[in-house]
Amino acid sequence: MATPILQVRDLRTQFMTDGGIVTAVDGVSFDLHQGESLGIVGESGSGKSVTALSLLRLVPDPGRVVGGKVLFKNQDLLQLTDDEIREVRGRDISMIFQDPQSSLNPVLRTGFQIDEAMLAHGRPKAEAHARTVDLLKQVRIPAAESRVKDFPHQLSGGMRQRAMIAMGLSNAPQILIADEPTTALDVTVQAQILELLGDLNRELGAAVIMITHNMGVVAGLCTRVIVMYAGQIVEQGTVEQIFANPQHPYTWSLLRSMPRVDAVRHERLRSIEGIAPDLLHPPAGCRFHPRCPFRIEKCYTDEPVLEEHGPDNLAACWVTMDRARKEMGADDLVDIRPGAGSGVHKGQVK
Amino acid sequence: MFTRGTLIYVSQRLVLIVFTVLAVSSIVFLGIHRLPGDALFSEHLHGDAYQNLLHHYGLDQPLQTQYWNYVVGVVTRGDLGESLVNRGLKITPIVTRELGVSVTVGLFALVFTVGLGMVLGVFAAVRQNTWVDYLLTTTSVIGYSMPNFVIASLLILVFGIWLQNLTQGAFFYQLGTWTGGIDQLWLPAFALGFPYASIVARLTRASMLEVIRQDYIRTARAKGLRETVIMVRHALRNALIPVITILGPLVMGIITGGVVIENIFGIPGLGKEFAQSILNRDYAIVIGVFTMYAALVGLANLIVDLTYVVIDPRIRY
Repeated sequence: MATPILQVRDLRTQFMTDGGIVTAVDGVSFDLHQGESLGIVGESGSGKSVTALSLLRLVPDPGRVVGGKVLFKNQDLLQLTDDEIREVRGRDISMIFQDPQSSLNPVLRTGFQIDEAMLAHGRPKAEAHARTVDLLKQVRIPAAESRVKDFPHQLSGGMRQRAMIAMGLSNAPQILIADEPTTALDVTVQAQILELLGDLNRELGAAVIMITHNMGVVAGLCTRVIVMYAGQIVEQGTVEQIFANPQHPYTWSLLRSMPRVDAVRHERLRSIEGIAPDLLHPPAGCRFHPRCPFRIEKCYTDEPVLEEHGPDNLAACWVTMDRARKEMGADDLVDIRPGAGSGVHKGQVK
Repeated sequence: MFTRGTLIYVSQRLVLIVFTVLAVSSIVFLGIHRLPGDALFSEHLHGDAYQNLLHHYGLDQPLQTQYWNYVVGVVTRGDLGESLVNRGLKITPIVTRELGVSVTVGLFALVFTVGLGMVLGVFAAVRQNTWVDYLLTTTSVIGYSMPNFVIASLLILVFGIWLQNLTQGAFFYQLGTWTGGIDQLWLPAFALGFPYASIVARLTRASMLEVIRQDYIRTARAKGLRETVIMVRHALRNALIPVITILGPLVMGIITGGVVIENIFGIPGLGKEFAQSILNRDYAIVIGVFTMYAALVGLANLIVDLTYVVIDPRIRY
């Protein structure tokens, strides 16, 4: 395979809070290839958004990227000067955010906010303005010519997100990072936005990093998936492998917690027991062990590392689902309370 | 920004201001005539001379008639009557000239208030928790803890007395001129505006700190905009929305504060006339001054309300 356009190595981002240091991103490494669509999934607080923000050094105070490398075209984005990283932002790598309502400036005209993204990177004014109208047409905003003069509050939620996408695409970036772009929208609009992102990914050949907590979004749009838990990558693989044969118990639980139309009616939706760990005091050993149905003694003390468990699959687990299926009867397991499948309870669960 | 609706709104407000001004002058008219004594009392006139004077000013007529004549004079001719103390002097030209003087001082004070306040507030916010921030925050605490007359007295002490060689003690303009030099205006304007500038600075700082944490600031950064562009174009404009909310009370403060400042600096504006005319029982001038103040307050509030539309496109009238 060709060299990846983005290589992230051992990225670490910390927040200096009053209570202590929170390591929100803890040693994350991954590659992004040309034109690829990569999904990063995880619960709230798993560090997926902070990972995305760290790539462009947009982490808000009191957060700071404390280590690692983000290699884009052979330069480490983390080592660039403020002026140099500004050149990359919005031109080579652009970003779309979760809530289009709050991500657009309420006092500036929508069209101007898109123009601005191009003016910042040296495009002449008239050209930028003409391109804004084209972009709005491209993201399927009706009556684009008149919409450019509207203020954000005059647009619907879906149109605002389309305008955000147009802004993200304005400089024809090589990488588009979408941070939960559909979370704030209603379901029918979500589908349209995802379809649009998919089309743009195919037509423009820009690589997309899709950050979401929604496995359905990943299934529809991505070719490769990274699953994050408590600031770390716990599993990565192709979308087919992750859905058909997840290796990490967390991925497995995430998939089981998805509502399905084709599920047996009386079957209850399985939520993952317990809550995401407090990153001020992350658990020893595997970070998922307090919530894991298949934990073994080793999980309490030793931290697992990402290892290959099949073609194009990495998982950080001492047990892995292959073994849980064979030895612990994972597929028939009704009770998925912590430790239920493994027989290791340590007094937490009867 | 401004639509036909705005035009209708403004004309409605203007009509309302006219009625307010009429109501204010009526109340003052009736009130001032209820005060014991009159303008001619101090002249110790008796007999025919006194009666003649009363007759000349129409003061011997019943109050209703006087009031009616007054209202007719104001509405049809814009005539506010004659001064009782400086016999024969028409009041309308006097108070309109004084209004001009007060408005000039007030506008300069407003420039200080908003300009200085905003700049200090933005700098404090951008340099949050550094010595710049602490210095500016401390200055603004001092600023709004000190009443304007204290600041005015200190300024006179420093510039008028200690630095007399430099200033020749002159920092107000001569009676009778329309506008004085800016060099003579800035001290009173500063004394009048500084306490409010401190309030604006604190408010701008707090508001900026909130705005720069907003998502759209992150969007602006992600676009690759320069930090100064982000601060001025994206942050400041949003940060000003809460600031213009207090602009109304603030302009009132400057207008009323002007009464004190004009008396301290001896500026021949409405404020100085206001105090003197009441002491002199110069009926017509008192009413004239009040009328001008009512008009000024009404117009100032209208202008403040219109600035909302300029700053925040979501507001429409």
